[in-house]
Amino acid sequence: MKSKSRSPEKQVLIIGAGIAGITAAIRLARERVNVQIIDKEPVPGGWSATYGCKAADVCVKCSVCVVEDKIEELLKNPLVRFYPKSSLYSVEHHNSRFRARITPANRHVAAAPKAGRRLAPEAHPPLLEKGAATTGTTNSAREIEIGAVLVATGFKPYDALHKGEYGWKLYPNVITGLEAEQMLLQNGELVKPQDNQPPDKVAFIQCVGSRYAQFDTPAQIRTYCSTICCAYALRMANLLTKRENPAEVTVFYIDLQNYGKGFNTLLDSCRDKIRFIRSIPSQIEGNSGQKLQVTYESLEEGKVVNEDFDLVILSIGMEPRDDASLLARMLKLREDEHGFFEPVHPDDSTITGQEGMFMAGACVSPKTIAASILEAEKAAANILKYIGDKKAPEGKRRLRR
Amino acid sequence: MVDKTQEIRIGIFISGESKHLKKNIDYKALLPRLRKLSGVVTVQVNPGFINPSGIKFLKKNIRQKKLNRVVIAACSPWLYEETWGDALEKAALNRYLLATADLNNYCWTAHRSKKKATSQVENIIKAACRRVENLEAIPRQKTKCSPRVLVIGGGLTGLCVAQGLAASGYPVTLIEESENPGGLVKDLTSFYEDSPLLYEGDRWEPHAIIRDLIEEIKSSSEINFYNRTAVKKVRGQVGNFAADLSSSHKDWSDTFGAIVVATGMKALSPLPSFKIKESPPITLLSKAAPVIESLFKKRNPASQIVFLMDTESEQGVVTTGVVLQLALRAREAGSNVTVLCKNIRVGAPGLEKLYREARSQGVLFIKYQKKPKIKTDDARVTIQVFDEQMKSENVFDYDLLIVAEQFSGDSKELVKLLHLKVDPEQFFQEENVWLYPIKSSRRGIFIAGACREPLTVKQAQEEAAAVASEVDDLLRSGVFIFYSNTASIDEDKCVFCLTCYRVCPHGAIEMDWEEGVAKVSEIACQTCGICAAECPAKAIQLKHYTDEQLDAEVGTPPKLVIFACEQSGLKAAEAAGKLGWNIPPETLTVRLPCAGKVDSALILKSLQQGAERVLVLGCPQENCHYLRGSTRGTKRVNEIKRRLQEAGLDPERVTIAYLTSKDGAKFRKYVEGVRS
Repeated sequence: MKSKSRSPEKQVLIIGAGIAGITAAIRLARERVNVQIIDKEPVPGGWSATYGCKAADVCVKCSVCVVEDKIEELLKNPLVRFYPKSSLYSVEHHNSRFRARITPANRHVAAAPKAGRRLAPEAHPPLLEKGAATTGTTNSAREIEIGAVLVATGFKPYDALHKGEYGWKLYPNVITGLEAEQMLLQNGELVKPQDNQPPDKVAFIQCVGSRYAQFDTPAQIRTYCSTICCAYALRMANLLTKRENPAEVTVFYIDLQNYGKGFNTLLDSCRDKIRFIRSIPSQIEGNSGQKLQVTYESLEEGKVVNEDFDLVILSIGMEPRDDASLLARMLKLREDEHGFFEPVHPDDSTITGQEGMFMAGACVSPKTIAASILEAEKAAANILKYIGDKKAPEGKRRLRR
Repeated sequence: MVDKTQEIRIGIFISGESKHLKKNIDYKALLPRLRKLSGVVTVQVNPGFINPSGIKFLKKNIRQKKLNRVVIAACSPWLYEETWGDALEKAALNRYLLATADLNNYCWTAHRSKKKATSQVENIIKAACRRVENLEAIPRQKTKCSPRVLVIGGGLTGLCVAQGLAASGYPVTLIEESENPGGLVKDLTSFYEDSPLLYEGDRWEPHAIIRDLIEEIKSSSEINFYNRTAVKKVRGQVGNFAADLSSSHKDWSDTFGAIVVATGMKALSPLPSFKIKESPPITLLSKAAPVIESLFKKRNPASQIVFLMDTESEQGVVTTGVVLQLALRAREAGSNVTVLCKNIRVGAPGLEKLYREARSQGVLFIKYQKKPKIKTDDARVTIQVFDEQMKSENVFDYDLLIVAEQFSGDSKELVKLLHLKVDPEQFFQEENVWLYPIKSSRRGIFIAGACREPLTVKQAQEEAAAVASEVDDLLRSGVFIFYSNTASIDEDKCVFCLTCYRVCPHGAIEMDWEEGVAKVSEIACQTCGICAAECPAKAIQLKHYTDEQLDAEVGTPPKLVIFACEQSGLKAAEAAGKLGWNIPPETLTVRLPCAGKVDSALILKSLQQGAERVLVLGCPQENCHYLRGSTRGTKRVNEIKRRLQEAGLDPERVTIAYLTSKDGAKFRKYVEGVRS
């Protein structure tokens, strides 16, 4: 595959090799555009590559396997150059070109998120070790010139430590949704971290850090729905009920969010196997043994109830990355009240308002994998239009009739 | 059939200089043993065959030693098959004369003893040699394809797709069933009136987008727009679909390279299920905006208004957005507003804020589960609803009831016409994660917009962009260059039973009614091999995975044979390796394109030849790359189990399990489970 042109105007820099960045990179490369993609992590994939499959015998369409497929395609493509462990130092825009400086990732800036260990998904180590052709080296700062920039920096998982009443990190059997995902990837099933045994009674607590406005500091107010948590909780709950000896699963929720195609089918199939309680527990206490005592207000009984569970999964949502505002200042992006990058166009969330700069994925607003893929496709289409319009339309290949 | 007169000259290339392999494999003992195998001309060990020098080395050896078969043993070989295929072709050898052996999981940590690891590597390379002997060259083919694209549906998505494709230079035929283009969105002005949806500050007018699009499409020379036109028949395959179109005044046919389905969704009135009709106090959500605006003109607007959502299945953010907007507007006019819903959907930017605003303005939300009872006279509506939160039965009187429509897929005829399937809610695109977002089960047919799920305007435009990119990717070069590693039908054996026609998930089998034989469209076949395994007359062979080739590969198998789908099982084996677990010795992994390719004869033969256990690994249902491969495989395995039981054998000797490419942990569990 030969590239359209090597001129900098026709090259694209993608910041962040999560699912949005990868999707856009693949699309651009298929259109024979040279793509430089940088990520602070040593491997591409971002958060979505650290999740596990939630299918029992029937797929629940969490799209995690699609990410794996796309990473493979990304690494195989000769027009994509992946810079691992790199971060953006500066970007200058002049004469329809960007000049970007890439430096080795500053681990202080990209400090490991507090809200969960990030397991390096050893994605295709041989490709990364040997495929030097596609991997840039970033031992020292380098400067690249490009025609367009795509911001796809993703999100930060909510730090459940803010919700001290749930005792995350205090009780080993209270885990976040992210930890549960990573456990699925590691073990293939959900177990109690304390003794690695499968739990009999599991509770999911929804909206931990989403749809909540009663924090002490304004910075912690989250008047948005993270959209992903109902989806993953429902899929995991479904998996737990499909075990050989099904677990007893309770989901504490405010409202169940419809994540799109297939939601109603899944909900109908597991509604009678899962206990749904419309109430958000006020606290979790570890009592004797390994049980966790969850306190919630029961609408059925009209009083406060204490109930014991083996494992509690906190469905944490998404928040903007810690370095998002830094990046917003560097790239002159608009930020919304929560700190996500704000699109300027009501119908096209990939438009940043900066010429030649586009965005996609969870850095714009919380999104599922499927929604990120679609948004990235749109961003790629916009980029192609932008770099195609800018110069030399004859480069566009037309079909002979 | 392999030409037996030709001398077979195999070259074995081991990409085995990584520190793990060096440590665990005794090359001094291994290489002489491999050299003694029949047909083997040369055995080379090189640091790697994926960098330019390795490729050069490979090509040089093929030319100098006149090799006509190549075996490459490497880690995760499927990642580089394309590269090696190109190298083979540059050395004037067909790319299908290559067999690979995956070293990855056999020798890192599981085998403490160097001797065992070496013998395991020897076994898998031998299996690859057995396979490569029987491989055949598969020629490259070229077919011209039409650059024309048919877009069915002139709604927002259809218009956007047409615009996107025309901008890339494709001639587009855009057809619309009704008089005017614009679909549901063109009426959105009545949905939202002046209230901006989701975006504060900016006035947002979806009908303005439609107006601009229609103008652009009318002025474009690439787009032919036909209203009141429908598709009557579609024949042919990707690149050359022949479609019969019919409008009110003429019928004509045309050839299209690709078809985009964007027929949108249908709004169904839930009123009949309550045995009520539209009347002054009862209206549907899409018609509610003018009614609510008229409240402002009334002298005494104070009235009781209720919105009813989620009547059949639970609705999405689109309906919620509209309801919240209108509820706020009615509240502004001074009405008392209640919203009845099962759950409030706020999973889109801005909606949670809107919901909070509505609550702070005094809109009452009642969440129900059981279907409410509605009674009406001419002026008022009485609703009896069980409030799930207060756990109380309530009876309320209202002046106005607004019921949200249920959305459902449209065009059942079109589904049949295009040989597609629908999902349980009657939307286009069956449920399979690999089809998301915009693919259909057939190559060259794409599905976009609200005909696959209810969407917001923003999402519909995103899907349109994705479709335009995919079509461009497909038709860009004007020709399809492909290898016919497809299913092929032996016409002498075909009894015209239509089995293949029915089981093919991709609509790639065409029945020749005159000749009385089935034919495979090489361009539409996606090489899953389901038909080959199902054919009762054994008339179908999947090239590159013929019965002969697979039998030879299995040979005299060890204790455990794993038939692994290359999309899931094979990759999961590698994922297991990453988690620090390796395939145990005395195991043979046979790679198949899909679990649906496993046929009964192959499994029985492996058992007969000495395998104690057979494990088939496929994708979970609705995750199969070929849609129904793993379902077919399951049926077949169950049939074999039944037969084994009848013959007095242990049916547990054959198992099927499901996993995805990431499921290293499950892979380990299944293999250990089978061995114990």
